[in-house]
Amino acid sequence: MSFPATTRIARMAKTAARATDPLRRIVVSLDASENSVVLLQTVATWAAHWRAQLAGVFIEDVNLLHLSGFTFAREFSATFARERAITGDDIERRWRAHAAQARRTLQHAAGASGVEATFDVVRGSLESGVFGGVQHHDLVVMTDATTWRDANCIGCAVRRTALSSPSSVLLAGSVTATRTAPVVCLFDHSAGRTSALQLAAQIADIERRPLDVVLVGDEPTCTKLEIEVAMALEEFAPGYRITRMAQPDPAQLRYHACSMMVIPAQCCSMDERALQLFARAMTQPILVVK
Amino acid sequence: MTELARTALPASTLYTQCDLSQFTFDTTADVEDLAYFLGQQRALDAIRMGVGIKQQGFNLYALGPPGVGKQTIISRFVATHAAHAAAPDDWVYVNNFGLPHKPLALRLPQGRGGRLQRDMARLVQELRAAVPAAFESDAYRTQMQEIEQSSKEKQEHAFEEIKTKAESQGITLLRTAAGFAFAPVRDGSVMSPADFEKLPKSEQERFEKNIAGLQAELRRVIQKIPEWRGETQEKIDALNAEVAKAAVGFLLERIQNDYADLPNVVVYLNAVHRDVIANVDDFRGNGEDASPLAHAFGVRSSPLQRYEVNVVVDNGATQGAPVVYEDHPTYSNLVGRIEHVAMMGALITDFRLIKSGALHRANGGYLILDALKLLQQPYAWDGLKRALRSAEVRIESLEQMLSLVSTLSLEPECIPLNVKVVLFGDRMLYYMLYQLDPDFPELFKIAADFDDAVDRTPENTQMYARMLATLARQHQLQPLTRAAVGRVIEHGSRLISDAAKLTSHMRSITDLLCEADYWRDEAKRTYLDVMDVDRAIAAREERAGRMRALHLEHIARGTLLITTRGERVGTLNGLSVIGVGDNEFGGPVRITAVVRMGEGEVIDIEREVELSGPIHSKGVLILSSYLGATFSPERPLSLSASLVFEQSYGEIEGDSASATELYALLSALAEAPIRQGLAVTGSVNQFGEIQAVGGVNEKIEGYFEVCRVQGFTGQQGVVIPAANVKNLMLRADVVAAVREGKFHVYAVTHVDEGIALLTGIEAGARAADGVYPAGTINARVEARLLRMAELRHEFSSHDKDSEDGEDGGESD
Repeated sequence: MSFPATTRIARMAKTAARATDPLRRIVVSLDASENSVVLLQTVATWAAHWRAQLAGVFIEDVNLLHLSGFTFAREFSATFARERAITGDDIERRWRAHAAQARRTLQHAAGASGVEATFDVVRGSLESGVFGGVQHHDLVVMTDATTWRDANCIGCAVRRTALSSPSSVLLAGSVTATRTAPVVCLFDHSAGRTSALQLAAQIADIERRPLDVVLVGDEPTCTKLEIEVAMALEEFAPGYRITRMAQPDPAQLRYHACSMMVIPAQCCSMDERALQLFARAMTQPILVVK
Repeated sequence: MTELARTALPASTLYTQCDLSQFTFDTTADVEDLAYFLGQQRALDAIRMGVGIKQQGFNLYALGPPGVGKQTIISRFVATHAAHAAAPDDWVYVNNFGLPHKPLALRLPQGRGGRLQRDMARLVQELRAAVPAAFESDAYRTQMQEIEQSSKEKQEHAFEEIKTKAESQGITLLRTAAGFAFAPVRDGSVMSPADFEKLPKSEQERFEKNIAGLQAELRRVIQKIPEWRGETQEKIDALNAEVAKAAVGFLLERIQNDYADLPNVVVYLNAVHRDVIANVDDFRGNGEDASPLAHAFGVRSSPLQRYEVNVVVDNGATQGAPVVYEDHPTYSNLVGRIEHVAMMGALITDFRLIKSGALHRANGGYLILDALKLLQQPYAWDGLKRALRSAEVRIESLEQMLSLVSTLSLEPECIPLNVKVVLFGDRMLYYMLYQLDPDFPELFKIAADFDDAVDRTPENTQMYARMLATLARQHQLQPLTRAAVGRVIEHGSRLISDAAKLTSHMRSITDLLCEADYWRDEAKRTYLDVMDVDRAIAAREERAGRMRALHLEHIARGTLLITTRGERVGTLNGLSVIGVGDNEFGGPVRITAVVRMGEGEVIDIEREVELSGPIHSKGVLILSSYLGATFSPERPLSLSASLVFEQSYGEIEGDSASATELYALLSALAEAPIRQGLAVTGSVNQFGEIQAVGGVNEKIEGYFEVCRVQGFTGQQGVVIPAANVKNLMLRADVVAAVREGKFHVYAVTHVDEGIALLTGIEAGARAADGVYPAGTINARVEARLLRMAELRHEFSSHDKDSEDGEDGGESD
């Protein structure tokens, strides 16, 4: 994501005029995937815009280390089901290579956006390594879509942890959005909906995308919400599009063409189970705002 | 009046003036244009017939000397004819989607080739907007996500089953960096190996057995994934095709309707339709080559370029049939070429780089070529013949044609050819082609033979004046006065060296008019007058006169020994023409003859030293025959004579000095001195008749200059063949000198006349008794030859007696 320098400076000046920036630290769980590179470039731009600290974390998952200790353990490649034994040396070697790659990616993205970044390698679980110590003003970015999306128990644990974390969480998507795809924000009676909406508006502004606001509720509710949206966005977005949805329909939301879905964490339209299923099925990035 | 002057040609015969009273105009501004050059009726009739015959092989060759206006006449005639013909169709090359290396040629009615090109460019632009819009629509994205989700759910369902089964057995499915693995789990985390070791042996074995079973199931599922992906891709392709069809259908239908009357274009557009749908992704990017290498090398290419239309023949603005003159008829300029562009170190090409040749542009019309230029270009003649024989233009590079390279290149579809080719060149080239190339008579059946001269009749003189008026207007020259017209006409006779002819060498006349107009402008005259023409002619001679002046100087300073006074035996001034570039001038050369007793040989010293051309040698042999036949028919010619061009150091060719050499020989034999004031030209036959020669005007004027330098005596002049009198168009100063009796021109028909003129002694005719009158030249020659024969006989008798005596002595 890149912008003309003059535009960026103008936006930064506009942001500086605001009392507080929405996020202070962006913690990125890094891997070496291509999605990770794209998402990292995006959040580096955000970090520059919000003057937030960028912290990269590479997790050496101990579960894998345990796995390598079993003589019967076999790894099957995802493409051809090629079978091979797993050893501790293999795991360590892969970690070193991936960590080095992740560090380079982080440095490149941070350098391009003019932000400072830290990089740490943590051995343990994803839950403790990434979410340990995060606060309300942080944004955790899970770049490895497969880890948190896959339907295995470890992934589910991570997803649960992510959704229950005090920080906002950005879960990477598996597809790349088109240039004109909008940022979509779910707006219902949830607590924190205004923060989520304003964050979505800022992201849309940074990425020069349209903003779609999906109002959830009956007609009178939606009318009130629409007024609320107008007031909340008065400062942020010059234009946006409103879509009304009587009942929360994760399937309909899921197929909504967008570059990113922004939802408040305490979304009253979806319970935790529904949110988990939604997060698992969604192919675009999801930003859960606390 | 002297004795010589009395037998000389009158001044009036030396220059045939143009009768200005026949002209009714004051200047050529009042004179009508002449449509074609004068005197080329034969050629025009041939061209008319050649142009009129439509069958194959009736192409034209216009032959004639350079400068007679062949190209101008042909161009003008053909252009007039072509203007009434229908303009031919357009031709375009388009991509062959099935076989891209064989581009297709499409024929379209006049002007619609360019329109198709614009329509296709607009179509691509519209598709570049319509296709992405269709593929970014919510409907498409939703359907796409449904397909992907369906595929994903299918996979996840399979994994879910394994995962559920694994969980029921206390086993978890882990996602590793490269794939999947199973591990025993406790409290939501992978059991450590140490904890596993603490399990009972049976429990461990159960885990291992269960994991082995799960691994087998996982393997089956993963192996199924490519199949599922294939199914998903098929669905995506079908969706893409459906969306593409909807997006492009209307646009393509519109253009197909526009060209519904052209079946070949409709076939092409159908192929475009299919290709667009099959390659719809090409319209979803930015339309440029997205490969990193292409970007790295700054190469701009686009897959959409295959929908472009290459108009190789655009007759949109053509009125009538095309008339194309190709000034540089190389092989590729004739049949077209396939260009290449360098891309990342390789040379690549496609149908867009096909360039038309002159044959393409002239198709349906006329192609005019300079035969010499055509033959000078490697393989151009072969290429032209092949195209005419096959009646189609095939574009292939020389390398391909000669099988020098075997790399894959384009093979554009051939274009049917219907062209009338008009070659022009000199006669020699025509005859050589006719004799040496068997294809030539088959392909160029019409010869248009251009004359280089026209009879100087009153009618033609009038036409000539119109032609001068036309040339003046064509070249933006001021009109000529009546006198100037007359002077140019007279010069036209001089150029052709014939008082009864006019040159049709238009380039010379045009050049003269341009130069005369320059002098007119210098003199600030309104009309181009006779003074300007005279000035131009004089200036031209002056410009080219360095060699002539040098030659004269050498004579004046005695370096070249030429005498124009007195009398000498066996010495005579011959006349020769010296050619330097395009300038020729005449001058005298001393020819001498010496005789002695011998065995009948006349030695031509020039031939002995190989400075004599065959025609000159022939002349010497002829005069030898004349001598023998005339003076010694019944006796051996006991003469040994030698002839030489004194102070001549270059090759001598031509027989125009044979009469001179004979006169020198007769003088030497008769010991009759020759008047050195007379110079001679003419060839002689075996009967002593004097025959015409070339360059008579230049020769006379050259000798006149020498006499002027050495001083006129009133006894000087030139003896020319009577047959050359009609060629006389001498300079005004020569004519004036003749009129004043300072210089003379004599015309003779027989050697006897010439020798009498040169020696002042009658040649003499044999009387009834076969004897020449005493004292005549012929009598003296015969007597000398007889004496030589007797002497020779004496010598031979003495020799024989001596030999006999010696023989007898021996026998005694």
